[in-house]
Amino acid sequence: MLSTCDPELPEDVVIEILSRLPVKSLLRFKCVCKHWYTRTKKPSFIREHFNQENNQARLLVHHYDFDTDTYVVALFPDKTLKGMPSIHEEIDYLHIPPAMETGIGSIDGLFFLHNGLDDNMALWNPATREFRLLPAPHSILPPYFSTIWHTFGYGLDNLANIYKFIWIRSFWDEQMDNPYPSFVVAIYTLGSDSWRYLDPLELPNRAIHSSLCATYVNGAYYWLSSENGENHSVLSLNMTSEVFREIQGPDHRKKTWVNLTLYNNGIALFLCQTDMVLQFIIDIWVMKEEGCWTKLLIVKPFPEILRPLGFWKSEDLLLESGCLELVLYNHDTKETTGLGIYGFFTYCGLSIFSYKESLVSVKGQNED
Amino acid sequence: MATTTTETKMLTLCTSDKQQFQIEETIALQAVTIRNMVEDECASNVIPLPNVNSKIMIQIIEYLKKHVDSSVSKEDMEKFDSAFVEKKLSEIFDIILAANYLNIKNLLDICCQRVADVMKNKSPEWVRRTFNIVNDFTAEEEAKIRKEHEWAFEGVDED
Repeated sequence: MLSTCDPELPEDVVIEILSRLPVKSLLRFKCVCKHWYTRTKKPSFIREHFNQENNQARLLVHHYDFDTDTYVVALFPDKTLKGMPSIHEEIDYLHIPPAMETGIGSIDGLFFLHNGLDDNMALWNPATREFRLLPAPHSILPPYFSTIWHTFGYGLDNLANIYKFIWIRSFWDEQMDNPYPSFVVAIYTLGSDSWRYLDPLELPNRAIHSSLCATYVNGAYYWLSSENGENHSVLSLNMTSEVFREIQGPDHRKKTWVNLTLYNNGIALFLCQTDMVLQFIIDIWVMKEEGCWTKLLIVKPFPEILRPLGFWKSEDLLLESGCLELVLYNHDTKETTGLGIYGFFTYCGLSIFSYKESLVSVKGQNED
Repeated sequence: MATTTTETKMLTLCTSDKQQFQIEETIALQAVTIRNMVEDECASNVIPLPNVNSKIMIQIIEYLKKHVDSSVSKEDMEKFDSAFVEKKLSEIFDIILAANYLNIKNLLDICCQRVADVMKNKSPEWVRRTFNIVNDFTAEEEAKIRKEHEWAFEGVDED
């Protein structure tokens, strides 16, 4: 039965209704009228839609499936992680597109993808099904420099309202047979569609590590840095000023395996070690403000745990168990719940992402 | 619950069809528009609400009475809300207009969410009819926009 709205709803109410629709519906309704078409493309609407209370972050898992001998995607229906996630064709669009190997994200619904074989990089918004291959940056070192290691970061420059992507690399000089003394930092600005280089980053004797998730908070991206696996600090890059800062890590003396992650939209560290009987102990530190660390909790002793994967909401930790199962640990009740999803091999075949739909375009906001 | 013998302050609301509703002030003040009228003392004993008819007012009072009750658990309130919006869309639109005028944010939110839930799998044609929107695209323009996201038209409800 048809029920029309008469008299017309006020403009702000219509916008409120539209902001509560899934991305798929909004793309379908672009052809309703010219006003809806332009209105739903506005950055202010895209932001409102992304932040709408019903657009909850959901757990997205990419994992190896033994039955089909393929990688599959699982998307949990809601934040409670109760009920088995859907693994069916309808969410095939959440597969990392072919020709890409790994992804980090999501930030504002966008993933950054990379293929280690050919160093191809791409941006991807699964909700709008937009995929954009990034151009390769020009080289600044002669060809006898080979890449030893690299990491990525990205996020929004809040001032210019534009996304930037960071590629940090270290090189080996094959002619001289020694390492290039500084990190090479390339930056890609969405919209300008070009790469440029920042001043080489001097961090003598230090390594930079990739985070467990996209560690972008309030206009800055964060990486973990260490000296021979000790003396941990956090390296931040402000996306607007493009200035790096080194932030002192928490004061700890234990020799541990450290990971950077997010907790309640702030920076957190997992310090992991195994005790005498090989039980897993995790110290979790959160950075309240720059350089100010508080120990949040200690999870111990924890048998049968391989590694922490990240937080889920504020009470739950996601872990990979010794038998490679994705496990949820509630640190209030100390209960663990197996989620029925398994990795493939130690440290392989299980990646988790916090995913929230967005209309953000991979073309940059200044383009149509 | 504790009972008090102090007199409950009542307000009289007068709807567009001149019906009068006597309700407790604490219930009525959840509507920001009414609260502002009472605070500004521009309201006498009877508060005129020319934009709301009695049929809608009855439903809004039902909603406000439930939401003023602090003994209701979060879960029960969510159950009440989802049952409350199980109405015909034309009625939801009327409640939206009243909730917008009376400035009752959570009522407006659940009604907008209800409309979004109903329309999310509908066709653009259904949306135009339901919202009284005139299609101002030419046939060519519309075809071009539809082509940009053909996949978004998969799984659409029959009108």
